[in-house]
Amino acid sequence: MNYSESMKRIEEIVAALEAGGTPLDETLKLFEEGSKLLKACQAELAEAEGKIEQLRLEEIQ
Amino acid sequence: MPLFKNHEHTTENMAGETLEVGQFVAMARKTLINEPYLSNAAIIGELTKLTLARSGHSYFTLTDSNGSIDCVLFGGNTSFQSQSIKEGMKIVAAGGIDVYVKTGRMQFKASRVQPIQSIGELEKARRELIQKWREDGTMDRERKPAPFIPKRLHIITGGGSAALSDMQRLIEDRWPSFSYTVIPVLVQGSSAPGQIIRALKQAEKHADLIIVGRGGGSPEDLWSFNLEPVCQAIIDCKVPVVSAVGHESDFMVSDMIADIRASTPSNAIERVIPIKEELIALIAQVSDRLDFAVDRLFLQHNERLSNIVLRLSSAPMKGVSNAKLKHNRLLNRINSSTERIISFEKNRLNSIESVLSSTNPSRVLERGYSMTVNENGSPVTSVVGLKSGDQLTVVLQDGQVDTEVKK
Repeated sequence: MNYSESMKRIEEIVAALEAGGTPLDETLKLFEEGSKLLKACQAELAEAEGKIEQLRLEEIQ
Repeated sequence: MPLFKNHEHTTENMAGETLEVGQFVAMARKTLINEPYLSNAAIIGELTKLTLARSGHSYFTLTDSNGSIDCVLFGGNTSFQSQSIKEGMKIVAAGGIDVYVKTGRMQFKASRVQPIQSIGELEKARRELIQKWREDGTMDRERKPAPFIPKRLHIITGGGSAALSDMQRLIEDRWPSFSYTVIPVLVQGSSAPGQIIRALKQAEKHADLIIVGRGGGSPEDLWSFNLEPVCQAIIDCKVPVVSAVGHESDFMVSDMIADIRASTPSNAIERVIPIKEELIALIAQVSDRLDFAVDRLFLQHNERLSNIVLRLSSAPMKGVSNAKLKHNRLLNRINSSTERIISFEKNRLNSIESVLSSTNPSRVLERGYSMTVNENGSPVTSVVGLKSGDQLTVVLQDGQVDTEVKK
């Protein structure tokens, strides 16, 4: 699941939980899934950082 | 004038030294290529006899109404192809004069070629290209979406250009330490299309998103982005491509066919690089909402649970007390009915007793009567069957007397 899909899923989970009435085991499952996805999103943000590279066209024939 | 005397094998009268042909041509060549106007020139003519050799070298002839010259452009095939240069077109070739010593043939050694087109002609070609791609559906083809966070962004633009530094500054603003790759290319002039195409092909191998573009300039400067080979390379690219050319008012064919159109290079960055702080804030917000929603649900479940516990604990009590009440009521009913039965029976017994006591034989004895019983204890009520000598007992009120029948 990529970043935007993950965020979309978390929104769904939060919306479902906020609407209330979720059974307890379902609540736990959703919370676990949401937390996992949030962690993945944070990791993805961190992954985008690094270095600026310059490719020279002559070198890459 | 004295040259014809050569055949006499005398040199004394000659105007100059006799030379080997090869020497002579080499000298001529040297003179020609050292002539600045000839060695560094740009010539315009109609392109004929174009041969794109397997070696990659291009051979052609430039002609106008007054003259003609054979030309060569070493490794020039891509240049002709990328600019769609065809025979019959008017082109400009930059380079210098050269002489092929082996044949003595003079030729123009080109370093680059470029089609000569007026803006009117360029515009016509541009319109035709747009028309063609409208008709064959290229314009309406499905566009590839940009990744939400590009991990391997490649930027193809002029090295050291203002557009590049604008983009770099903006990236740093939006996402400090964001990683990306720059492929510097010429963005104008005859080698621009070829370089842009090569850069696209290279970037395609590694990138997950490509920005290709340049800052503002004259229509001629921007024209690479209206050329079919450049646009075709963008269309063919397997990775989503953002076209970011010139100012907002510049509208290139590349803008029309790219996966994403950005009005300027800076706009391209705004469109594809999210603001890191915003994402972090969004994650934090969603995280809070998740925690809050779960807490609330737990609270709800807890409430429900304690509610149920309460009901569970009180429900059987209610049942028990109900049963008790019912039990008591029943007991009362049993009691009272039993009492009634008992008293009824008591009364009956009493009356029977009084009847019984009135018929008690001992009462008769009290009034002076007596009872006679035989040896077996049975009452004797008649003389019949009695004979003398029988032993009889006479029962009186306060005792009994044994007697014997005499007669």
